[in-house]
Parts: sequence; structure tokens; C-alpha cells
Amino acid sequence: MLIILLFNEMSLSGPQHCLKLKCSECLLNEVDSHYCPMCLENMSSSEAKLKKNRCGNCFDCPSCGHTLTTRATNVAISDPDDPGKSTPKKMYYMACGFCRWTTRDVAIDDKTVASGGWEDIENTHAKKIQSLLDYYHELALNEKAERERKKYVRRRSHLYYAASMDKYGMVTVAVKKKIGAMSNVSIKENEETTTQITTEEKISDFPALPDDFFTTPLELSKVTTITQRLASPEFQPTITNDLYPKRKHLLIRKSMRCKECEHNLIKPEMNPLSIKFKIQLVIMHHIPEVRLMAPMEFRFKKELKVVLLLINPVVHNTTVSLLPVDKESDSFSTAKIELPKKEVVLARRDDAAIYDDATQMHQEFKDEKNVVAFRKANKLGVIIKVTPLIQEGDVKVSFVLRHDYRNTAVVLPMENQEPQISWLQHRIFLNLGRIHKSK
Amino acid sequence: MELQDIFYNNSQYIETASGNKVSRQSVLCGSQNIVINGKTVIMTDCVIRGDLANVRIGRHCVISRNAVIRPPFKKFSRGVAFFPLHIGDHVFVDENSIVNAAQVGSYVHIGKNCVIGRRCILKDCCAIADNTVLPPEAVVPPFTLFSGSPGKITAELPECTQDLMIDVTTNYYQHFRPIGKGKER
Amino acid sequence: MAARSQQRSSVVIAPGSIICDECELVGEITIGTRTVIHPKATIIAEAGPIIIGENNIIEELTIIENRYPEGTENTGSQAVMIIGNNNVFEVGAHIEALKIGDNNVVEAKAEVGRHVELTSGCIIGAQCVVNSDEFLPENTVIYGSGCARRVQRERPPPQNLQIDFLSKILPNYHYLKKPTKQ
Repeated sequence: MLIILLFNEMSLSGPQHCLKLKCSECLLNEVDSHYCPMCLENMSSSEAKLKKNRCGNCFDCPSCGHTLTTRATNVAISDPDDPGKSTPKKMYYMACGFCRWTTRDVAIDDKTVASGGWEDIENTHAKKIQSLLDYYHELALNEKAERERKKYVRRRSHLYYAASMDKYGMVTVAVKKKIGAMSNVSIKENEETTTQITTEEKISDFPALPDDFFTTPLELSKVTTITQRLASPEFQPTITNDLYPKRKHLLIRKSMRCKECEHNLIKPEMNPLSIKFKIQLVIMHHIPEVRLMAPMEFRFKKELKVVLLLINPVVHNTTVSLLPVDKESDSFSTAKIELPKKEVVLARRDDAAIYDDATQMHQEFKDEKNVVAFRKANKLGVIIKVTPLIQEGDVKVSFVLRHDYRNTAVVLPMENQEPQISWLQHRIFLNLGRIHKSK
Repeated sequence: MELQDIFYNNSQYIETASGNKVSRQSVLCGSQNIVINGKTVIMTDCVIRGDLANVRIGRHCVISRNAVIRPPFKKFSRGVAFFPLHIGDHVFVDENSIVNAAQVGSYVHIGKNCVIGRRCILKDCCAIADNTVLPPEAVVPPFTLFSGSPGKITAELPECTQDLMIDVTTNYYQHFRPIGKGKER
Repeated sequence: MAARSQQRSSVVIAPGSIICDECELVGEITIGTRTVIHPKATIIAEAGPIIIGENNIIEELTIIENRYPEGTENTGSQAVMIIGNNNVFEVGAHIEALKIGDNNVVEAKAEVGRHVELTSGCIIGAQCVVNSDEFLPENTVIYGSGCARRVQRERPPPQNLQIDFLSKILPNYHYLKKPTKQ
């Protein structure tokens, strides 16, 4: 039997303040820190913004996308003083281990420094884009100043009234504000005329497609693929000789926050290598887990005893009861389910017992045989009876899991000796498998 | 769903003092250089090359059928040597994969038919999808999922990956049970 | 399968080559000097002899097979499979090509079909399946999931240092097949 790991649905977090369960989709994801996936170097957000979210040292191969490694060669360079002797000098070039692309393929010279010697190519359109940005930035500021002036004009009558009263000393404050606003507006008015952008010329006709476009044979090895072209959108090289190494993009570590109570649920460490968390409120640690024990063969209208495994993650004994769901509002179930009527107690999780191979149950529980299938450490097998109501398709059931929960986060050590016990209810949806087709 | 029992023929596997279950049909070259820390399952037809360099495997690992664990080699200025390979705890290596990495962290899941290139570094709590080819010298940061050929980051793993991997590997070991004692095939 | 057991294994091993005893050699095989064959490699010369040159590295779980193509099993047409010098066949590679030149690298889990001809300096990337009927020019690199290809500038470097290292440590851990006396 092979293990199927569902990674998407497993990230459930449970805040301890508002006692609600959230999945990673409904939480507020915030950027905690940036790091480079290759050199695993942490970077602050301001530094990342400056470098345009790219690493300073690591490069990607433009041909396949894998990281480039720096390799050294010994090149004999003739000594300038003594033309007879040649000293071996280390020169560095970059190569890809996957597609074997090297910087020498595109005639980039070897560098004398191992890292930091590779400069970016300057974008020929960078100046034009920057001047456009500046022009529109100024326009935006001017429009904002216009709006403020209009608002200011309407309020003048109020200010005069208040000035005559001068009850609260607000006049000086208002006057200062007025001077400040006016000075901004006046400066901008002067500068408006200076920044002008050169508008592009309209082209009305252009030369026709040359005929040798159709006759010269195409050399596939010289043309870049679309993925390679779009990987660097500023240059979009069409021939392979123009490919240039790209800087590696940074990854982020995120922290998650509940939208309702504004508390942080997951906060990772600063070090990108660390797998520990400063705050980690994951459901797996707080709420009992429900699992199907074994695959079952279901048949139409035949009652089957299904064993559900309940796992208790906390260090206290937990009382669990399975309650039925209102039939009218239940659109998920395709089978009738009979739940145990009484509550069951899950034993606490005892980490020391793992090393003790002879599992001695230190606590005695009275278990009814038709409710509890087995009990092992903090696990309990509960028997429910399922009767499928459909002839074909998946057997689905749903019920409500009610358990007590001790909120250990918000306990003030001075006031309360006992942590708060609250009862939580969760709606559980189970897909128990397909109906067995009898031949 | 809870893992089902996987039965093996008792005469086919050796159970060591520290709880390792090693198949007799696996090839462990240079077994004096292979250190397995305990409660690890090594299934049939695996190849572990301890003759090239030291191999250390952590606790509760699972190395499935036909997997190859091989230390990588590195060229130094004075020659070549094979690097020792360290695999952390709670690592699951699925069938037919070739692990040529320099270092594999803990709580890692490597899928079926993968090729982990030379001198790769897999950090803790990462996963490699089935049929991935990781090119040489790739670095896999924590909580990432790599797939494709060449392997690139395609997804992120949830924060509870460590607990999930502990759960999977300890349950696999507990459910890996022998049938019969000294039964002949 | 029956044909294999009927053939007598006549393996000619040149002195200086390191061949671990745990590998499977079936049929008429000639292996040159300084070639290293790791344990658990399989070389089967079913449809003709295999001649392997010098300085090659054949890693574990590789299958080098000279077998009859589907459906032509009883025609008895023998074809010699020639593998040159300085080649590297990585873990899990499956090779049926009849002509392989020098300095090639077939990476892990790659498959090379019978009608492909590798010249020199070619690199078949990991998990690439090359089954076409063609002649690969020098220094071709085939890589990626779509078997993209490109030409590299330099041929891959020879693995002499690795062969030296392996010749020293493999005898410490494995029984080796003895070279045939000439």
C-alpha cells in the first residue's frame, strides 16, 4: 500500500484567540523575509527592493533555467615585464551542469574574480522609461496639489470664524499648514514647464519584408525558444548568441495572520535554513485527527462497521463525542450513519511512551465493546455503522465532532490556575471510498 | 487513511539490534562504512555504495525498492575523492530513485524514479516529486517542492511538514511486519 | 531467455581493467584496459559480440545489451556492438546502440536505442530516451524532459582521475574478475 501525501489540504491553522479554524487560503499571508534559493542568504525587504528581488551572486542559465556554477581554469598569461615567462592565472567562467551552456558560448570574457565580476547589461530603453516615469510622477503630484487647493479654498470661511474666536489656539496650527501647502503648490507651478517628454514620431510606412526571409534556411540551433526569450523580457534575445545569464529570483518566507482577530498564526525564523517557527499554531497540534482505519468494501444498502481512528495530539485527556448532522441541511452524505451515543475519552499523548516498547496503559478506561474497537497510546478506534444509500459512486458521510479544548495560550499565570476549557464543534466530511461493484 | 500493514517474508529480511530492517536482496557494498542509526527499513534490490565513501542514514528512514544511494565525487586540485553522504532522520526515498546528493536533510520525501544529481544539497523538510531530474549542484531550500526536468520550484510545502513526515515514516516502520518465522520461499 | 543460457560466456578481459564480480556478463564480450565496471552492471551480448574500449566507466544498474530487435529473433543476423574509449555510462542507463564513439556521457536512467549512433563528445541527459534512427553529430547535448538538444563547445573532460581512484579502492571491497591470459 503506497502512501499518498496530500500537501495542499494539510495546512490548517487554528488561532487560539478567536478559536476558529482557518486554511492557508483564508488567512492573510504576509512576506516575512526574502532569501536566495541557492546561497540561502537572508535579505531585508528594503535591500530586496533595491536589488529588484534578485540575488547578487547567483545566476540562472538562460538556456535551461538551472543555476550556473562558477568554474576556474588556469590560463597562462604572459608576464608584461618579462615576455619570455608566462604565469598561470586563474580565470573564472560560468557553466550549467544540465544543458552544458557556458558563458564562453556567447563570447563573454572570463573574469578574474570568482564572484561579483559579472555585470548586468544595460537596457537601452532604460533612460526613456525613466524619463516617462518621472514625467507621470510629476503630473500625479500636480493633480494632487490641485485637489488640495480646491479643498482648501472651500474651507476658508471656517478658518476666519475660528480665527476670530481663537478658543483652542488652532489658528497658529492652521496658518502653518496653509503656508506649507501654498509653498508646495507654488514650487510645482514653476517646475511644471521644465520637464517635457519628447513624443515619439509616427511612422506611416516601413520597408517591406525582404524576400530572403523565405529563402534562407533556418538554423534551429541559432534561434532561441519562446521560453528562453521571455525569461528576460527586457531584451528578448532572438538568437542564441545574445543569451545572457540572469540573476536568480528570490524566494520569500511567509507569515500568516487571522483576518478576524489580527493575531499571528505562523511566524517563521529569520534564518531561511531553519525549520523551526517562532509561532506555529497548526491544527495538527491541537485538534484530534480523524482517519479511516482500513479500506472497506461497501455494498448498496448493506450495513458495514467502519472503524475510525481518532488521534489525540495534546497532553491532556480529551473527551470526544460524535453528533449527527441535521438531515435536511446535509447535501454531502450519500450514506446513512449510526454514531455511538456516548462520549469517549481519548488518552493523552505521552512522548516518553514511544521509547518504552512495552506499552503499558497507565490509565484504565472503561470501553464498551461495540463502540471502541481498540485503544493504543493516544489513539482510539471508534466503530460507526455505515449503510450506503446509493448504488454507484462514492460513499460519503458527515457528522459533527465535539471535543473539549484547553486554551493554553491566553492563560495568565497569576490569576487562573485552571486553563479555560471550551467545547469546540467541527463538521467532518468523510469520503469512505467507492461502492464495490459486485460481479 | 491509516497505513495498511505491509508484510514481508521473515527470512528475506534481517532485523538488527537497533531495529533496522534490511533486505537480504539489497546490495550494501562496503557495509563497514555504512552507518544506519535505527528503525530504518531498507527494501529489496536497493544499492548502497558504502565502498566509495561513508554513508550515514538517520533514524526512521525508508529506502524503497531499487533505490540507489551513492556518494558523489568531487574534483579537488590534487585529485578526486568521493564525499561522504549524510541522510537525515525520517527520510522517505521512494522506488527506483537515484540519490547522488552530497547531503540530504531530515524530513525529506523523495518521489519515484527521481534522479538527484551529483553534489546536490537537499535541506530539511523539502520534497522532490516523482520523475524529477535534479541537475548537479542544485540546492533545495526547506519547505519547497521540486519537480520537472531540470528540477525547479513548483510549490511550497505546509508548515507542518515535519510532523507529517514523522507520522508517515514511523507508521511505515510500525506496519512493516514479518509473516512466518524462517519460512522457506 | 533460452538463447542466453545456451551461449557460452566468452569474456576477454584486458589486464588493467577493474571489473567487479557482482556484475553479469553474458556472451562474447571484449573489455579494454583501464575500464571500470561497478557491481550490478549487466552486459548481455545476445545478438552479436560487444567490444568495449579503454578508460570507460560503467556504473551500477546499467544495462548494455546487444539484443535482437522485436520480431527478428530467429534470423540469426549478428551485429557487432562497438563502444569506444573514455565513455561514462551512469547509474541505470540502458544502452542498445550499435556504435558508440569516444568521450560520450550517457547520464542516469537514459535510454539509447539500437539505431542511434553516438560519435564523440555527445551527452545524453538524465532520463532522456533517444530511440530515433539517426547519427548524432559531435558534441551534441540532449537534455530536458522534451529531449531538447544543442551543441556544446567543448567535449566533456575525460575521467582519468576518477578511474585512478576507483582502481585503488574497488579492489578493497569487491572480488574482481581476473583478466584473461593471452
